[in-house]
This record gives sequence, structure tokens and C-alpha cells, in this order.
Amino acid sequence: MQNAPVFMRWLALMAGAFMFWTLMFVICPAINRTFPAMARMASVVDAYGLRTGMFFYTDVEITADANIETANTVRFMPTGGKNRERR
Amino acid sequence: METTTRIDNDDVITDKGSASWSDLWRKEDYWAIWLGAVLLLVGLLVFLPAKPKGMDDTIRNANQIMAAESQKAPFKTVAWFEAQDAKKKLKASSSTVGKFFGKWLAYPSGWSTDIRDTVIMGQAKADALNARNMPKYEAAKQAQAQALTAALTAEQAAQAVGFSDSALNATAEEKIDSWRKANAAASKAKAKTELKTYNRIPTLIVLGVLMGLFFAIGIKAMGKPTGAFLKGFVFVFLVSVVSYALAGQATMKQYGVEFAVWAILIGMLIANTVGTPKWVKPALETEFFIKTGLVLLGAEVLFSKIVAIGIPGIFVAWVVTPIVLISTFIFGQKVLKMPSKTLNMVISADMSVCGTSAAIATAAACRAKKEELTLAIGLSLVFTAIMMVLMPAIIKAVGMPFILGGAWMGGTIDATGAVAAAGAFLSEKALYVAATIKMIQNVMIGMTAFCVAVYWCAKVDCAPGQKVGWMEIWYRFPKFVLGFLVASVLFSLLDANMGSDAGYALIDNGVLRGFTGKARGWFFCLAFASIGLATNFRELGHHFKGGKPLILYVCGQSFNLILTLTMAYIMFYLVFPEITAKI
Repeated sequence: MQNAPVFMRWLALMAGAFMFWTLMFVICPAINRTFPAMARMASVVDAYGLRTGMFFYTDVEITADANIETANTVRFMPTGGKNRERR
Repeated sequence: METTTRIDNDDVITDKGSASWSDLWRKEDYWAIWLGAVLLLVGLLVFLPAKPKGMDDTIRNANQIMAAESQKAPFKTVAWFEAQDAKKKLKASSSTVGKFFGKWLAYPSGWSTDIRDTVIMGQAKADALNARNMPKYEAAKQAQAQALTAALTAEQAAQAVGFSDSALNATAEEKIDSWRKANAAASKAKAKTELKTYNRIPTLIVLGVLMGLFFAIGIKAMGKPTGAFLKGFVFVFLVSVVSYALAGQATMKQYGVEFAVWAILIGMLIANTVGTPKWVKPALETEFFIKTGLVLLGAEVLFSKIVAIGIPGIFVAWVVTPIVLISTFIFGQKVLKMPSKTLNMVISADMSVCGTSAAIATAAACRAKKEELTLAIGLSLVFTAIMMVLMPAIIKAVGMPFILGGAWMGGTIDATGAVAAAGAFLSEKALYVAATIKMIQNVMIGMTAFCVAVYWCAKVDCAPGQKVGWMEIWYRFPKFVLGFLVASVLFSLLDANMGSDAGYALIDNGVLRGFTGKARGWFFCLAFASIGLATNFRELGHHFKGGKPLILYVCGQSFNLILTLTMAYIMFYLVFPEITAKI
């Protein structure tokens, strides 16, 4: 590509940008419309305000909730009541 | 450190290393440590004094209530959850100083169809969106109040018989669970009615200038042309901003096409079409950006997180992961005969530990090529998108318990965000288990990077049969890994010393999520933009030859899926069922 005429190189850049646009506004929404599981995933992602590509736990806010929830469950595990013996 | 490769008289290639004190101010690895240390220190000085008002009293009261409630009932009561919610609100990042840093380090905002929303939100638009979301919030608030009443009534009924009636206990648990869901829904609906106006253009300009100057200090000390770096940095930063903006698009957020992927794609598109301008090249300091980011990431590797869900979590995340990592690497070398050991290791770590972050850390530790890192991240992206949708569907279809499913997904899906989404697809409990297992696994990357760096220095980067002494290992060792480990140990000690609740408020939701985590995100984005701008499509194709990387990923992940599921079942259902029952 580096030896191609300048016009062709800019045209290739525009074509690449168009492909990105197509992915964002045509292909992925079409997949969501075709497969109900994808549409449901979209609603879950929106409801929880998630960014599914974020890679580390500190990038995902809900991991803080998950951490405190599970840690407190282990630390203050409910053991009261009389029913446990009768189960 | 200087490493020289020479051919001796007997034609054996040997590496000789040396080190001098001037390395401390002349070498990239050390500058990554110094710059990272400065930011971590600033974070500590700023966020530790920003204690939320009444923090100690709130924690003490909440813990007393939770302890009392846990003794009283066989399930988590309404009071137990309310006490926990009180602790959750304690965040140093919500303080004035936290908001200040949040504003100046902010990434471009999310958007759906109008890309201008990434940088500007006017009053009229914010008002219109808030008004549109208000009826939904009102409905959610009403549902929350009704669910609370139902939960309290059911709990009182169970308490009236001393929690001795299993049916009443089960009903109370179910009602409390419904109230929690309604609570979460109301909280999210409320956030959508509180949109504020913003203009990120000035903050992004200031941030770009500050980051450029920050890295220019190291560039100058290393004897590289500072002016040329700063000039090119403008372009690299611009690519990073666009990458974050595109990653914020609603559909892309769902598919996990994050800033790292966009930065590489945009950079590669430019490099392979119109070409990366020559004046940009002095700013393509990929390794410098990555290493500085990794030192900051070290502080986020808190060892206290390992015990978050007790022993079952440790077994699922910390026993399975190294077995899969080592087995996959050996499989790649012995069976697939991967030509590149570094690519083999990066893909093995990427697939078994925690996706992109592990790929970055191991790639830097074993000095993998930038194309190899790109390939590993690409594979991770594709498989994460597939597994995130397929795994919850399979779990539902076969009727697998959601807690088991959550642990399974947490141990196998690469990206933490995708793990959370897949967990949320099943249930809130599955989400919590999945995200916690992933978090424990995230903590493994420090150990992984260290072991890989030592193994590479001692075994891989030397001639066959050559014995490498400890000093030679030290010469060759990538020093920034030490910065990563020291940051991890110091922050882990600080976090443990404060106690889990104060650590949550000041370290996790203060220094890390409020400041250094955001800076680290920007540094990685700069690194990926640099990778893209310096990558040739043909080079990338060469590494994918024969499809071996794909086969390695598929085989390794298949083994990971089987082993993680087996371990999760043994731990959560056979050895520690009491923990599972109470989650």
C-alpha cells in the first residue's frame, strides 16, 4: 500500500473507516435483531451499565459490589435460627 | 543494563549482561517505575486524607448490625443488607477531591447515535434525557417501596416462629431477594435521571498536555529527542481519544470492542493506508507507556482480594489457572510446535489468567513482539464475545445451578466486563460469584508476570545447555516487573492494615478506581495506539501462519472449561456447600 498513489491510500483509509461504521451501525445491530440472546444481552449490559471489554476488575464498577457482597457473606455468614437442625 | 550477544570462538552464542548505577536514571524500565511511583504517591497523599464523613462510625455500626443479624437469622435479613449498603456508600472517589480527579481524568463519555455526546452534553439535552427517564424511575421507586414492605412482612413472619419454619424462611429469602433486585433497578433508574452537563474538550486538552509533559521527563532523561516526542504525542493522544470515544458507543460496549481494540485498529488503518507520519514516530514509545501502566496496575493487584469468597474461590481461580497456563504452554511447544515461544506464552496467559491485562503483563515480561500481543488480544476479543453469550445460554439450557455457572464463567471468560455481563444474564448472585472469581484471578497476574520474567531470563533467553547465574538473571530481568511487584505488595499491606471496609473506601474506591486506574487506562490506550501505528498487516499475518495460535487458544480454553467446571463443582457443591447456600 505504501507504493500506491496518494489518492488510493486515502481512499483505502476512508474504506476502512466505512467498515468500522458498518460494524457499529449495521452488522452488530443486525446480529442483535436476528438472535434474541444477543438482544437480551444488550438489555442486561445497558441495565447494569457494563462495558464488556474492560479487562481488569478495577475497570468494572460492579466488581466492587460483588467483592463487598461475597466478602461480607463469608465474614457475617447467617447462622441463626433453629431450622438448620430440622432441615 | 546492557545485554550483548556475541559469537565465541567455539561458535556458541552467549549473552552477557552488565549493570551500572546510571541505569537508574537512563533506562526505560526504571523510568517506568519512577513515574508510576510518583502517581501512586500522589494518589495516596490525596485520597487517604479524603476519608468520607463519619466513616469509622458507619463501619463500626454496620458491622455490629451484620454480626447481630447473622446470629439471629439463617438468611441475610433486610437489616443485614441495609447495613452493607451503608458501607458501600463510603467511597473516597465521591469526595470533592475524588470528583476533581474524576473530572480531569475522564474518558470520553458513552453515546448511542450522536458521537458529539462523547465530549459535550448541553443543558437542553441533559434535561430532555432526565425528563424522559423520570417516569421509569418513579415506577422503579414505587416497586422498590412495595418490595421492601413485602420483604419486611415475610421476615417478621419467619421471626415470629423463631426462624424455625423452613417454608417461612424460604419465603422471606425470596422476598428479600426481590427487594434487592428492585433496589438495584431503582438505583440504576435514578442515575439515569441525574445526567449533568459536561464539556470534555478543555479537560482532554489539559490532560493531553500534562501526560505529554509527564512522559517527556523520562524521554529527556533517557537522552531521546523531547521536542520530537511531544510533537508526535499529540497525534498518539488524539488516536487514543478517538479510540475511547468509539469504545463508548452503546453496541460496541455490548460486544466488548474496547479502547485497546479500537486503538490498534485505528492505528493499523492509518499505518497501512496513508502511512504513519514520520513526525509521529518519535512518540511511538509503546514499551514505555505499557511499563508505566503496568507499575500502576501493580497497585491494583491487592492480595486481600484472594479471600473474598473463601477457600472455594482460591481453588477455582488459583489452582486451576496455573495448571491450565503451564499445560497450554507445554502443549504449544511439544504438540503444536509453535515457532515463537513468546507468542505461545502470551496466548497461554491471555487465555488462562485474565485476558488482555495478562497478555500485556506477560508480553512485557517475556519481551514479546507487538504483533504477538495484538494477535493474542484479537483472539481474546473474539472468544470473549462468543463465550459471554454462549455460556449463560448453555448453563440455562442444562439447568446448571447459577452459582456453579457463575464460578465457571468467572474462571474461564477472559475480560472482567464480559464476566459481569454473562453473570448478570443469569442472576445477581451469579454475577457476584462470577465477578469475584474473576477478581481473584486478576490478582494472579503479578505472580504470572514475575514467574514468566524469571523463566525467560533463566531458561529461554540463553543458548542450549548454557547455565545462567543469579547475577546474570538479575541483569536480564525486566526491572519494571519489580516496580509492579513492589506496588502490589505495598498497596496490599496498606489495604490489609486498614481493614477490608476502610480499604474498600480509601484504596479500592479511592486511590485506585478514583485516580491511578484511570491514568493506567490512558497509558495502555497510548501504548495500543502506538502498537497500531507501528504495525504492518503482513507481519501480523506471518504470526498467524498455519492457524496455530487459534488451535492453541481453542485447545487451552477447552481444557480450562473442563477443569474449572470440575473444580467449581467440587469446591462449591461438595466441599463448601454452606458458603454456596448463603451467597
